[in-house]
Amino acid sequence: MIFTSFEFIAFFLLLLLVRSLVTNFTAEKWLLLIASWLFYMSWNPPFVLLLIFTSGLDFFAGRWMERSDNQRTRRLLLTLSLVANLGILAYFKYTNFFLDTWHNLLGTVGIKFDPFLLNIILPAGISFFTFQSMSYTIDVYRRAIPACQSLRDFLLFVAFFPQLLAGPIVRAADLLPQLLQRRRASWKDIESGLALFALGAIKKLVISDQIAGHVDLVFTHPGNYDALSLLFGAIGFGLQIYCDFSGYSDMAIACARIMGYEFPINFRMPYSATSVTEFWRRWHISLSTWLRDYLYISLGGNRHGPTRTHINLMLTMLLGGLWHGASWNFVIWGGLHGLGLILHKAWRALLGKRAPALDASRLATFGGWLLTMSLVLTGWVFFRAVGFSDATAMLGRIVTWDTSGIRLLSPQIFMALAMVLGAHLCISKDGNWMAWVIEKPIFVRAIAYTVLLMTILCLGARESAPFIYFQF
Amino acid sequence: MSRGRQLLIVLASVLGLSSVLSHAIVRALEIRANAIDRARINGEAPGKPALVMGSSLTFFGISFQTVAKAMDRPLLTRGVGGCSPCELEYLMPEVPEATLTIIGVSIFDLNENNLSDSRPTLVPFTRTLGDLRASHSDWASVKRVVWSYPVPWIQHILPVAGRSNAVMVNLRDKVRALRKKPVGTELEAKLAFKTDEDSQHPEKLSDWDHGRIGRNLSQLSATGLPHGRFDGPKSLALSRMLDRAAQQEPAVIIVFPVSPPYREAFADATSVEHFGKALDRIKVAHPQIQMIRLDQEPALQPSEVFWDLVHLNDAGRRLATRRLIEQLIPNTAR
Repeated sequence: MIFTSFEFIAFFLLLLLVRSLVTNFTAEKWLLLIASWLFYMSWNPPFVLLLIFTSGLDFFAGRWMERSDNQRTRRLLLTLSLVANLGILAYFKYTNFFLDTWHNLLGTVGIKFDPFLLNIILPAGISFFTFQSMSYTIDVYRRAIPACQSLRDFLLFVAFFPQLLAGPIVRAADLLPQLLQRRRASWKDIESGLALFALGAIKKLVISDQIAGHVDLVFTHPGNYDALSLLFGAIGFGLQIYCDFSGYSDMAIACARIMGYEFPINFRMPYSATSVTEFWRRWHISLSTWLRDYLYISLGGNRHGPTRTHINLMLTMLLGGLWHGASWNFVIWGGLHGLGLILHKAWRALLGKRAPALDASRLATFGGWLLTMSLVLTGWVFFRAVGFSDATAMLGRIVTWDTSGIRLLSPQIFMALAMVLGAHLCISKDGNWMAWVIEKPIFVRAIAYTVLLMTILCLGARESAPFIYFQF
Repeated sequence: MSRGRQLLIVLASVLGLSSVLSHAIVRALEIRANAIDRARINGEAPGKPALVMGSSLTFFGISFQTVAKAMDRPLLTRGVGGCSPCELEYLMPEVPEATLTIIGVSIFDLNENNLSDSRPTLVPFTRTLGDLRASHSDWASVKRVVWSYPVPWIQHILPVAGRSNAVMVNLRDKVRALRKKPVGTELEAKLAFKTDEDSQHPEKLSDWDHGRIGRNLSQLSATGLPHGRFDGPKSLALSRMLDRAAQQEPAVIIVFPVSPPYREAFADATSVEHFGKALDRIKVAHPQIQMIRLDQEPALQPSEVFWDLVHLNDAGRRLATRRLIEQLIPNTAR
């Protein structure tokens, strides 16, 4: 059930209708929980049991941790929770990857055997709900939040359908308090939610889905195309993944807002970033802050000198890459970003007091943007390519500007590039278009929303593909 | 004014404005729904009429004027762009006087993943549900088909809904026409056709550059075509059509070819095998029918005989018509 389908719209409208008829708050929470489970079951029904198991385990671990004053017991409970969560994640996501890597490693020393690969189906959204649930037990362990007292509330916190499959990764501290009292959206919230949903649908249907076929062609047979086509294929994927994922996030935030819940923002014009550090403050914010708070800081953060800081940064990004999927290409993608972050940190340290002056220079800003986008684009090639050799061959042909091969340029890529760049350049990168338009007179809002709707109708793909991040 | 009332006014205005704009765009760009084309060819001929049914592939691929003359009998035609046996089944009762039924199919339009825009308007919802259940279609296919049914209702208010391809192609053609450049002929372009007229498409797919082929393939891949499935409602509908035609002269099924780039991109070995099995099942269940496999004619394989990814051009049509008559006449001449 994807947000842009009639099926979801019918499901959501029916849920809103039934919810408005329910007068009892407890019954309302049960309704949301059952609806969330049904939503998850529309992907693969048996895996709802896994969702319930991991949530239940973390709920009881959290309760015991709060009750116990014994540090060893608390640590043991935390370890149990982490091992269970990461163990399940590792089994479903990384078993075949590790078996295959092991097979290849032994192959290099001359030991040959048939790899024993398991036929494992990846539960949708497992990386997201695992991280969300883990953050709760870590926070309870750190005594940053009190343990949740209601199993139903905790199950709802993990399974709440707008963010279940692909985030934003909502922290317990943000969502659990919202489940303590009955929430109703204001008319203003409903209006901004509807507008945000339309904006997300434009990103998904008009940009991501329309260029997906072209991007697939280029990345399936990169050896067939010339350098310009490959470059636009890579740019196309950069646009596709941004619009696909941020479109999903917008729609998730919008659905929650229409029901009266507030989710954190997940994307803030990432392609306007002038450094890798800034890029990660704008791209998949809920994951980058999760990695910072629960991994980077746990590793020591920047408290033990520059070398350890750089090692911690690199480790965090490598694991962040691996979080996306069981492939060395994701690790390389994470490594590239880690390297970018380290180099940027070192560069800022080298500049010292001259940094603010350089920040004010337009030329330096443009140079920083160009360098950042080059690194981001290189990273996307590894992220999307079928294998390491495909990615390096593709990058090699772009860098050496190999003009042999087919020229494949699609007007949709240019249209998508114009729309995304236009939005990034014309709208203040830290501004909030939605907050601005909602305060305008009725006729301005009517025209603005008509433009959104007509864009979807006239330029949107008729059928929507599943969101890219569902596979993670 | 309260925010609630403001929101109501805004929503009503958005719907009203969008509806007006939508109707204006459809009119300005001359976007039409896939209309049913009905015709009578060689009506003066003395024999009993034969009914010819199919999608654009059938009527671009064969000169039925020539076939009617060769058969020396009237042909009654029913064609709908992008249609399949599901829709054609409901046009069959319109011609009770026909004593022979000729149906055009291909790996493209028998693919269950290729949904026709006409299905919700022609095929009753209960029939679709029944066929989906009887064919044990997977949940994803069921959802896809079922949720195509509200689209015509939405199109009453917002006629551009679900027609973004037509909007973009017609807009591009309008701009090209204004700049006095030739309009596009790609697959996604308007597939307006007359079942009683031979189309004029001398251009060859082999003249297309790789980029143009790639763009068209990528557009097709976005419509969910890639994985061929041939064991759903379309097969059931075809079977019922053949049951109905069993009381007449033996029905004829013409299997049309598709171009090499299409075959390479979408008709992998598994799809071809499944398609072949579907045709075998039909042949076993209806042994009296005549199946003419134009898709296996060597002369109809190269890109030179197609004008886009699936439609035969003028040269291809002449070849296909000749082959059809050679195989058809001994069996079905009145």
